[in-house]
Amino acid sequence: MNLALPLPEYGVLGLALVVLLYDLVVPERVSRRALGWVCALGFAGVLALLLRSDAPQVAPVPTAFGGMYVADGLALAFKTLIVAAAMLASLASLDYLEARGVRWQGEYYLLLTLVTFALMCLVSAGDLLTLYVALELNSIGFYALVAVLKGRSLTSSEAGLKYLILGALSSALLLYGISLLYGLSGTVSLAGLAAWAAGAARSPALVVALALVAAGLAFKMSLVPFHMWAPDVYQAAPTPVTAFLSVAGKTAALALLVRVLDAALGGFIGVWDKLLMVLMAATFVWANLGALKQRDAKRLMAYSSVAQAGYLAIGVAAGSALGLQAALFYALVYVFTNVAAFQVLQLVAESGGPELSGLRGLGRRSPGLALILAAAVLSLAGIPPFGGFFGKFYLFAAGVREGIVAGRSWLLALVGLAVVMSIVSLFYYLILVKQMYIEPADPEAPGTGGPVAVPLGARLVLGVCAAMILWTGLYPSPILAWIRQALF
Amino acid sequence: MFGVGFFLALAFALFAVGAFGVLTRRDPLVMFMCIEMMFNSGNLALVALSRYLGLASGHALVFFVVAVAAAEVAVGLGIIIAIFRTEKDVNVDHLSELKG
Repeated sequence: MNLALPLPEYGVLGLALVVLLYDLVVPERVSRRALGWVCALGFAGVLALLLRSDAPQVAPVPTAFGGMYVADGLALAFKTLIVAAAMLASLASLDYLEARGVRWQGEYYLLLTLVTFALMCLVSAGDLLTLYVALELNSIGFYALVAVLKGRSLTSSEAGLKYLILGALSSALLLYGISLLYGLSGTVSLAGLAAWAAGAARSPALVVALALVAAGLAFKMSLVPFHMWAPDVYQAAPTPVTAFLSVAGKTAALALLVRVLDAALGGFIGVWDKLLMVLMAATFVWANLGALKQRDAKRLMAYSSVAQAGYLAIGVAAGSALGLQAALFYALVYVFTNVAAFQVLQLVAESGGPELSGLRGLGRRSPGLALILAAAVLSLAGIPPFGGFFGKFYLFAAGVREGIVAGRSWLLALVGLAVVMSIVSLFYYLILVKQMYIEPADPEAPGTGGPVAVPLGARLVLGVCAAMILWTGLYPSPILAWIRQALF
Repeated sequence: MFGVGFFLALAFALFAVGAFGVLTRRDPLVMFMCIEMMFNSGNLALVALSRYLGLASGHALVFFVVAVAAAEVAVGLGIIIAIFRTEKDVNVDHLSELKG
């Protein structure tokens, strides 16, 4: 057994201990704001470690704890995204919490690091036990993070309660599905499930088990109809938490779908791909149409994130190596574009309020912020030259190729629907752009005077994200090479 | 007389009762109890199947599920208390600040 294998996880766990000790020894009256910098630096260190380590290139991938922890290229790539998102979230939280007079910042950063730890374990899960415990650890952490503005904002607590009840319900569905799978296969290890799925017969119990597991995972991924929590939670949670939940939570859920459906239960692709494709078709239609009538900027972005989860799932439904690469590339683009969009909305909301109308006149007041938000939403809509265009192109191409090669005409129809709904999505993304550049600013409205203040932490976040949006769009080949190497 | 089939049927019944309760009751505390029932139906199925298959892995999983469910409820009660302090009412139908 190789105990040194989960080194990045140890790093994040160490960071959590540092946060805990800092909170313990520093006197009560001193603000915990510095912890944001400590976390950002710690995550940057772990990120450097992850970027320096090479993905294993030979067949038996290294495992630890009796196969419960798998350190393959898939885990490495997704961990890199998760830690990058955690670093950006810590930087974005610095001034947000301080402005709201949150005294329990020590707990906030501790939860942030522990959730990151759980997400990292989740993408490395080699066993249903690790998977379940890591999934619950990150979910419970997120429930508390969503409700962290207790006493400051009732909606934050309300969103936390709704998220918790629906989240626990989905975990119960997943657990029941796991127990059925265990009864059928007699194993809890994902490798064991894969060996069993290669030769097992299909039975009604299997369909029920797959449906329950798919429902549990679709909740974490927020696919319609398991998305009901997303708009409320995204709107009411502290904006840095919303950004982190939408990118890190979703990429980890994507990794989980790949691990459980494509890798472990790949033998039953003919059973679960129908279930998944129904969810995805519902997601494309419902999320994109639902976003059109939103007036709250974060709520609009929540519907947009639900739709994006649907696009990401195309890679899983395709089930091919190409689909997986495309999904990973799109997840990478999505992390940086979505964090950038939420960061701008967070800064604007401090002066102009949460409504879309708060964005009015931003093009003149803060041209830089307006430009970054426009680039981010156009990238999400899939407009060249931004990364989102290539991401969507690769995903759709992978879906079409798999549809033709394997003769899965439903997949072709699904990609067609995704293309059409992606054009619909352009409409609501352009509403944001229109508010910033065309709608006249109301001179009476509060906070529409001077430029929006951008603190140092937010500057760093926006700089990194803007660079990545352009890099993924203009020169994606080094990133694609990194992805191919990780998923050999 | 009590074979694995009996326990699986009982687990399914518990699961169905729990799911029905979560969907129909509006008091978060009762909803938590129903969710716990659903967790325990999964646990019961795991234990019964583990014994039937003669494997220990299902038993091990159950211990973790019990611990996790306790943690979940602890956070849930914390949030309910935070709401109750300001609202004096935790009926989920009355919590409707967020819509759309």
